[in-house]
Amino acid sequence: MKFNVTRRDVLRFAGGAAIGTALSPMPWNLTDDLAIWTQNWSWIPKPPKGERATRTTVCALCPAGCPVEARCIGGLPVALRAANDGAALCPLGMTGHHLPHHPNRLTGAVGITRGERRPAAVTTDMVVRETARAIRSARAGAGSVVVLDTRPGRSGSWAWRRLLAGIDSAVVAAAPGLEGASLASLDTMLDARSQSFGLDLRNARTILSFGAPVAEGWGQLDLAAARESVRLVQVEPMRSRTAESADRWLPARPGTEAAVALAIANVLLAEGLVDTTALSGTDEFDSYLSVIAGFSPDRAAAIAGLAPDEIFATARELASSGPSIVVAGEQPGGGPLGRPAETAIFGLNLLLGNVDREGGIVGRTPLPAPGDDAPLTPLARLDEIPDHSVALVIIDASAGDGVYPWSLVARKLSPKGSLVVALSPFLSGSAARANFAVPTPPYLETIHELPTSFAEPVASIALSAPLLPTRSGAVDPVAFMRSIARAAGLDLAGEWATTESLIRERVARIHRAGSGTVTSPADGSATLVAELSTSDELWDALLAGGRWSAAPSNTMPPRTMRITGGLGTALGELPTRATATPRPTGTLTLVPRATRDTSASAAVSPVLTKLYQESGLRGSTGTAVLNPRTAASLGFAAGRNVRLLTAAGAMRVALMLDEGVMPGVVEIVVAPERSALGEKTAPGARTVLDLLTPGNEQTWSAVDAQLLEG
Amino acid sequence: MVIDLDRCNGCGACATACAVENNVPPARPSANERTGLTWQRVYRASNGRQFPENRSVYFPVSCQQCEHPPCVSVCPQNAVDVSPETGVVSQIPVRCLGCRYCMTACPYHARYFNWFDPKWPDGMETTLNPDVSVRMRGVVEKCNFCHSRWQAAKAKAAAAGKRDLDPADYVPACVEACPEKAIVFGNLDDPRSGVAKSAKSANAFRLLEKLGTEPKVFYRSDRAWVRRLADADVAVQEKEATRG
Repeated sequence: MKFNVTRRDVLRFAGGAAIGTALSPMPWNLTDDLAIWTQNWSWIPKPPKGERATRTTVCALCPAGCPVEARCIGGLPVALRAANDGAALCPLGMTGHHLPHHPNRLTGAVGITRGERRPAAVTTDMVVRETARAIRSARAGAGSVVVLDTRPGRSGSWAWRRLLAGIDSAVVAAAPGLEGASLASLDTMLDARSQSFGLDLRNARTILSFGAPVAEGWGQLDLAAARESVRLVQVEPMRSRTAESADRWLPARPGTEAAVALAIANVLLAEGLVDTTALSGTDEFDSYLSVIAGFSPDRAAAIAGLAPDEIFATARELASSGPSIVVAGEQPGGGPLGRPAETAIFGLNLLLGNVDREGGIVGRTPLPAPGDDAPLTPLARLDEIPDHSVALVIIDASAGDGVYPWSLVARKLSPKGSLVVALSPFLSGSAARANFAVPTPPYLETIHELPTSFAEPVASIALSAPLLPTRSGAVDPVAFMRSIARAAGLDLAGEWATTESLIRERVARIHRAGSGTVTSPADGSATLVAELSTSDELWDALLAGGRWSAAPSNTMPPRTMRITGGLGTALGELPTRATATPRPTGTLTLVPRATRDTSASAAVSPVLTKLYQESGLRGSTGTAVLNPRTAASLGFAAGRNVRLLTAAGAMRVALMLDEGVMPGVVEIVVAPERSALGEKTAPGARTVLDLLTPGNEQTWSAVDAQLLEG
Repeated sequence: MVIDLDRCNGCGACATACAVENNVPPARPSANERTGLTWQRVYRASNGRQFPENRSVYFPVSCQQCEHPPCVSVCPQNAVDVSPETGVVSQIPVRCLGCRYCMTACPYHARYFNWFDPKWPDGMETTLNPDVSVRMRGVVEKCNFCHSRWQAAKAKAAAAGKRDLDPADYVPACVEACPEKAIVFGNLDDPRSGVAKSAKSANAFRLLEKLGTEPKVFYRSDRAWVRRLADADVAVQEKEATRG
């Protein structure tokens, strides 16, 4: 049999096959499969697979130390949430598991040269040698050695003081603008060299806050939970989240906080609302009285741009709705208000009798040090260090960072030669300004310590347990100190060789003291330390997310209260910009702003572009916000790029208009920087913070500025 | 969902939690407010008065899960669907061809387009939520009330032999993350639920109600000037006030 296949047969077959195929499900299934296949290219990220588990730790990204529950897949955290019911993590905390993968994470030590886009890879040994050489030079008289600690109170902080104890010219200072920095002024007023008190915000009925971001977690007060029982009066020039949340907002002009505080004191005394028995008869009180005599409510109101009734009402509320407490805060991005303003503000507590009282300033025992009473290098404030005198600055940003103008540090460096070495997980923030940066393990890759935060009424400690293995190349800060000690011939006694072993020593001391309790975040249950047989049990409880708290000790040792903090009549001297009228034409007051959460870390998750770039919620760094009336008077429209000029230089900024901004003020978003959000930028590049030249009081909360075309 | 605008302080925790839960990638350097991906976006509006009488309100706006969604009727691909069980308006990425008609149709600006393939920094893909698929370029995406969490709650109920899920097991990420407890979520059809009662309160309102989309997201505020904003386009108002 022979088939006679013609061309026509082939064509008929092909046509029939095509029609038949089109009528079948096959091409449509192929289209569906093609759609699915093209959405699974190899470069499309695949979520992880693996066993699901829940682990607990403590957030170490700011001093608050919120308990964290981590959802893990295959042992890797994929989501973080608050471990205690009813609480919530901030945007920084809930994205903390992204930080070990941050694009600007340091994978090895680097040397940074100004102007070079990329840092040069160096070895940690080289950095140790250079640091040791600088130490030897300092000992030979080339200058002093300063360790700038961005998270004071840790065991590592103590270790730095121990390391440098043998160097006469060495000091350890807290980085500028950290939370609680303003309490140094209260320290001076209560005549103590180291803080042995806390702020009992939780038991206060009225809180008068000058710039403290209380609604953002400052002082670890859960304002949302306390709304029914506490009244908040916020004094600050910006309509911040705290000002919006406050029961009353006093929009005092920048730099006039002292005037407002002194006028409130004037009312308290004039109306006999306070008992001054404890303060009368001291030299400082006579000076104080002479100062506040010059700040009548009318005068202060005119200076601050407030109504006199606001000052009267605030004073009366403080006196009648106690216990009341008055705090001076550090504005995120803007830093402290300065010693005179802080003294005037905290002086109200002394006047109200808030010291050593529930709901006020309470005494607390200090957290035990990790080591014995060996000599320690003294603590100092950065502004106490003479300018141009420092040969070596070591910035310990291994546990966090701060937001401050670099000029505060730069002015201290010796012109004869100086070295800046930073320890940080990221090449951003303080580390980007150093000569050398050494990589340390970030949050979740190592044990971090959360010592007593500045406002806590009792000593406490929590540990942030690691959820990830430490990546190769990361340097343990205490191990780095040991290397420096060996290279520089410094004595660093003690068995501890790593951060973990040092913290264990501290925990062991706490256990030996046998007091206090460990509270579990899961159910709030408390276990007495005395019931834990070994320090390992205490260690395990802390690593499981628990927090040790000392027994309350509300009794402060007798002390002289210095209501002017030694300033005397200088307390009444206000910054020039607060009183100079009229001001030069076109002069504005530049007020930096940031949010508390992202100001505590040198790097934040790139996902936070949702807040800073992909929406207008927080504004991106370098955005200047002006009142429309002020803009119209200067001839500017919204959306323009203008030049912002201060005494420190000029920078192009984008202009936005907002009726909520005080006329005559330009608010500038200062953090987080683009490098903090993950963008690759030249390290040490100029930032908006460089325009904020600190005044004589080492403050940068308000500086004079001009906006120009271009 | 009912959002209490008198409690919302604009912290952005809801927007952040949403991005983490739903594998929304970080922005490229060139992205801005128009091209970004923000399933939950918090807008700021004001009472229009001058300083110091100026007051702000923060509006978290996600897909309003309309009962009569305009996006469903315009989609040529049937890539948008209203679930008869939950009332959630779901977006099906594998069917979407990226014409963006739905984005034009949505009066709430609650839909976002993937202009590029998603990219996370090296290693960060290990932090992705395995319960949510990653979308590729060319498709639209939007809030779906954390559908994966609904699935997980259903699975948990089924494993326990129950037909209905436990409301406590199905909480969208934004609700869980809010520190002020400003967002309440639940079954609007259950008159005993907190969300149903809040939605019926005198000070509750919906955005652009006159359009007849019947959103399932309600807002409430004791402030009359906030309630008057209901008929304004919040996104446009913020833009006009700040950028001219």
